[in-house]
Amino acid sequence: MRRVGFLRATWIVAWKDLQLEWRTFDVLSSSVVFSVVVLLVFQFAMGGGPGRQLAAEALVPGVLWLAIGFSSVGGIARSMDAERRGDTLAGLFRAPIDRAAIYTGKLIGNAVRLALLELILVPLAVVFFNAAPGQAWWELVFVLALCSFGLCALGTLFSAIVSRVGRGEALLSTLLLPAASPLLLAGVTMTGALFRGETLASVGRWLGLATGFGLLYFFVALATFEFVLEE
Amino acid sequence: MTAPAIAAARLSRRFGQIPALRDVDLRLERGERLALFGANGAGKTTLIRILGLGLKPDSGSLSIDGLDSKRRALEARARIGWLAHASLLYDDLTARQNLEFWGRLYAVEGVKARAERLLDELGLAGYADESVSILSRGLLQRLSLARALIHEPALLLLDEPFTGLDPDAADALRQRLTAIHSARTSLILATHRIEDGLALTDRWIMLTRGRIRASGLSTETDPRAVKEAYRAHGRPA
Repeated sequence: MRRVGFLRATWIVAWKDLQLEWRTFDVLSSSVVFSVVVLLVFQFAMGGGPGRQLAAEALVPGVLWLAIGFSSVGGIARSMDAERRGDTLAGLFRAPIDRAAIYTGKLIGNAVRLALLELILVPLAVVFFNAAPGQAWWELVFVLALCSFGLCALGTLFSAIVSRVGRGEALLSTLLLPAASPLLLAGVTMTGALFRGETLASVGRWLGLATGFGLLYFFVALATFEFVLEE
Repeated sequence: MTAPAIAAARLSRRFGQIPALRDVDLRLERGERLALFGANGAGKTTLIRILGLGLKPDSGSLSIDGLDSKRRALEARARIGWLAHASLLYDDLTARQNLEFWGRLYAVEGVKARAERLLDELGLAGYADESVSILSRGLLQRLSLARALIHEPALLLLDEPFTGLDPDAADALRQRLTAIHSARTSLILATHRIEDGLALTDRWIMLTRGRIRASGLSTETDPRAVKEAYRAHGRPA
């Protein structure tokens, strides 16, 4: 009898999540609006005085990760909410696939959505604050990818837990943001270093921390996701 | 000799201190249809969830189509179709996208053609590219049935499929359930609608407080006798 392998099942679940997003733009549109408002508020708060450029370089990493952190909560919560409405998570749980593939599929869906948000957000931040990471654009992409992966790895697991207990976005943010704070702090520190013209090697400890937490969250989630879904 | 569609022995399950299912033995032959009756809280949904491999029993053994539910879980899950209270459909995908998604997860060959055929057979061809969120309850239930049948399951589990349907939609579903019955597909129908349960199945059992308390052949049973059994065996624990 034919069976769907792990990678194929991951792809099917991820593609379905992206199809859902493509049909509604629910998650991305609300995340973009929220993030742009955050950028605008901080841009106005900085004013136009002589210290503006110094303030911008100091603020941009924090503003970016604030927007990314809060947007990811909303996005991940709504992605799991789509599973809760028709109890489709129970259907996925009964499908003849490795249940860890449900996790990896949803993780990829969440990560792609967050990457699309960052693709819009980072250029806007550069324009709004007139601050850029110099020649270190690829390093910035790497930092964003690393910390966003960890954020989504943890968020996808927590959103399934929250969904099982029938609670929504409020509980997810209560759980996710404190638990993901090492990643957010690492993201702010590494992004700040790049905006100051330093190399990633100068913040090597934070790079190690972000990698370690990201992998830890991913493998713990992979190992426990099936038990989270169990009825 | 072919393996039975279901062979369950001494299935038990508790939720905290409350026993939901107690030492249930059940055997269903291939192609056989069984109605599952019982008052609210009698254990019908728990039994359906265990038979659908969505819930693990605390004790007992279960095989589906000859496949042990623990050792060959993935193969066993592939044999089961499930129509539940919830639609198990994504509101924001179209009817076709939903069927193709579930078909791919079940490794259905020629999934597009299979989805097309089911949409046609269940009278949903006109709604194939409509978002599920706009479908009426009756259409949604038909689409849920198509989803449950996409992989041609050997065993179809139906948990209160008539809930929320108007008389016309219930009639349509009744006709569909009669039509899909074949020598290959076994069926368990959990319902409070005694006349429907008896008309659509070969035999019936009644659960009371997690145990099988009564059973019979559907064709030889007067619906009034089942109603009497409901009253005689009392309310759930």
